[in-house]
Amino acid sequence: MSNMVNIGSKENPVFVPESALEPDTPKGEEYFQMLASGSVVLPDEVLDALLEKINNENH
Amino acid sequence: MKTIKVSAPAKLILSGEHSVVYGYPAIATAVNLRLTANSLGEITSDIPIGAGMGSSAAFAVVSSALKSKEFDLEKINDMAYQIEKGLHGKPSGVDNTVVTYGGFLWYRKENENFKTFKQIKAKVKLPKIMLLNTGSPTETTKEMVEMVGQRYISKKSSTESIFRNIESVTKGFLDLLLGGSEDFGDLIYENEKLLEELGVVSKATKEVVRIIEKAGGRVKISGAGGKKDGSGMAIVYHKDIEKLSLIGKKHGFLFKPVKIGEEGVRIEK
Repeated sequence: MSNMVNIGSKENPVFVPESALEPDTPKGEEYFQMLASGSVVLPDEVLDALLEKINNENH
Repeated sequence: MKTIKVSAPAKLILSGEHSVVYGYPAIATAVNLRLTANSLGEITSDIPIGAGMGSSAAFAVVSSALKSKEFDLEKINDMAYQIEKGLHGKPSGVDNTVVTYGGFLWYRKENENFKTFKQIKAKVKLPKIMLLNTGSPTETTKEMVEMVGQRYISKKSSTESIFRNIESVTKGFLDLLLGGSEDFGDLIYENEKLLEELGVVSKATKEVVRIIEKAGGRVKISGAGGKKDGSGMAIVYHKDIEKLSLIGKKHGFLFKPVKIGEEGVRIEK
């Protein structure tokens, strides 16, 4: 099992594996491949929040 | 104690990558690259890892099948979904379902909490295809997903138009599988054109695609693609498969023949 991180809100939690926050790693790459092919589903606003979080952490 | 051996196939997106994120349909298929495991814990696999070919789902399905006493596909699929949930948070269920049952699966995200799945009972056998690795993308898949997302925001109308056209192609594949008159090669060709328009195919990959097209073949990338260098895995088709080996030899393309619509999880003898 993976360690999960809540990138939703307290009221509407959405858990993603920690690897989703590390897109440069093989596991992070796998996560986003799954996202692009519909194997993983994220609400639109949560996907935006995830991308923003990754970009903020990298700058 | 008798050793039990189980195997499960890889998965490939036939049509609908990227657009599926925005609620458009996709068709996934099982491919005859298999992960095999036995009750002693030994595992072998032909499925590339991190290539969007369902390696994680194949592992989850095989693990579930080894635990299942009566080899009930529904139970195996449910157990595999729970494993996928533990690994990926919010899996759609596409991967474990297509890997468990094999064949072809129609899928659409209606909204975040409601998804449509439909096993396609294929009335025709689709032709053999080849896989071609066009090279590793320079971009991460996250960057490709983000790039399409930005295009969707800045050029919403044209992006939606591309997605609608991809949907027509996906429906074309469905029609073909149900015995309709669509041409497999034409659908691959159309799909590639739309993915190029979406901006997920690199110049280098387009050159490879054009070489194969010029020789009468058809190619489409399968997966998130890549913009600067390689674009990852591609599906290649030619009515005369022998011609592909000639093109491969001439240009140094390494084609891997695969069968789509492959059988799902099974007990190996």
